[in-house]
Amino acid sequence: MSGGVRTEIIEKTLSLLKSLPKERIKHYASFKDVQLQKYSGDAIKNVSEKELELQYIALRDLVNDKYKNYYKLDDKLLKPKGNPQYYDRILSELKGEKKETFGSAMRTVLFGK
Amino acid sequence: MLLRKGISIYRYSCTRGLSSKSAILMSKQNDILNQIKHEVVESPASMAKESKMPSKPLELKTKPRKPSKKSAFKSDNKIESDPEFKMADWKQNLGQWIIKIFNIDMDRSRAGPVAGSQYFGECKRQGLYYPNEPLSPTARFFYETLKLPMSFSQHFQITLLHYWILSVRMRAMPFKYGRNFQQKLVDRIFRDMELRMADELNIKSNRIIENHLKDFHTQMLGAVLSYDEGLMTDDITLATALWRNVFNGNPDADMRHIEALVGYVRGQLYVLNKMTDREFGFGKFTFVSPEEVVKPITRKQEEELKRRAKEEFAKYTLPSQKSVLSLDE
Repeated sequence: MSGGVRTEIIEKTLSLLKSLPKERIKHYASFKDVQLQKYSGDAIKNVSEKELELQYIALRDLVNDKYKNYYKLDDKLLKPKGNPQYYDRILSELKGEKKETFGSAMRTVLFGK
Repeated sequence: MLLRKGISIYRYSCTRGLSSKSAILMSKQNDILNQIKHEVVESPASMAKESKMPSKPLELKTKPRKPSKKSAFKSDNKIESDPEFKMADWKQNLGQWIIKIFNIDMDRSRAGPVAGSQYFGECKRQGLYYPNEPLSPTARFFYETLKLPMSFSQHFQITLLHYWILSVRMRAMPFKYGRNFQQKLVDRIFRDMELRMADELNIKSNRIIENHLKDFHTQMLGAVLSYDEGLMTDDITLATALWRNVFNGNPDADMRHIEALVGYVRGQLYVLNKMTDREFGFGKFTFVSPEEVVKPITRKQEEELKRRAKEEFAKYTLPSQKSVLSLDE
């Protein structure tokens, strides 16, 4: 096992982690920060090169939306007929578009959508 | 190949197609990997089991309290506890007559037995454990393969994940039915936790139980929001939501374990996506074991499944089996 390949895998993992989008809301822990710290420090010094490579492939599969593309969902679930605006409203709120008004919030509380 | 709930599910025991020899240079290897069409040929359980990444289980601040006894899975009521239970014929006939005379909306009434009992049992079963008792395949996947701690709150997180998977499908039902199904399911989950905290964990103070329930409720709101965001955006967002909630933000969590769980969740949603409202509303869904692989189906296979469902439901002619739920979507 050469040290060069190992360093290359770690660098690729780090650059992939750095490319992850910023979280839309602040959580108690940030996956990106925690993993960056893990791969920058000594936590992985005892991990084999092969395993590091498989970890990188797993991360890359997630970044490439392997499962979202493989298990494609229809509009049946993504635009639910019971409440077609449900996900749009959540995403616009997470993106900070501030489309929600007091009236629309009250309508959701009273009528559920 | 198994034909289970109408969706083709294939069992594979082969090793991961993407694992490659370390002798190949990374740059060259990536070219090869990029050419491989993304195919899911492994079950989530076997994918996670293959990982040799040394990982420490999460250190808990306090030792989890073990259940001191085992309470009934759903309840002591014979309708729920006895699988052989059959109501007397005269009672059934009277019930059918009442439904017919008063034109009762059975899709609404069915929310109790289907969402509040059957789907509740499905959610609870996935992560259920008792000391010195064998684990179910799904519980083995969570506690042994993914190395999650065996605790009451971990079981809640697993139940919550399965609740969310079902609630995604319930939202796609006509609003008044879907909302009722969600309400019945979540009410039953919290009622069960309240009873188990008192009976199994021996928590005597109602105030403490109530505080725990409030905490769990807050966790539920946060988790559902994060999972919804992950569902609508991308796999990595769903993965981070699962890491925060199911893996408890463990810095040592194995990336391949997280990937396996994302595959597990997306696979379940795919099966639900292919199920019609009527089948789902009649409680025909059961979670696919993490030891099985969900393979996408063709349009022709989907049409065939719908045809079979229509054939089956054409036999449901009793007043209690009336439904307006769609058999086409």
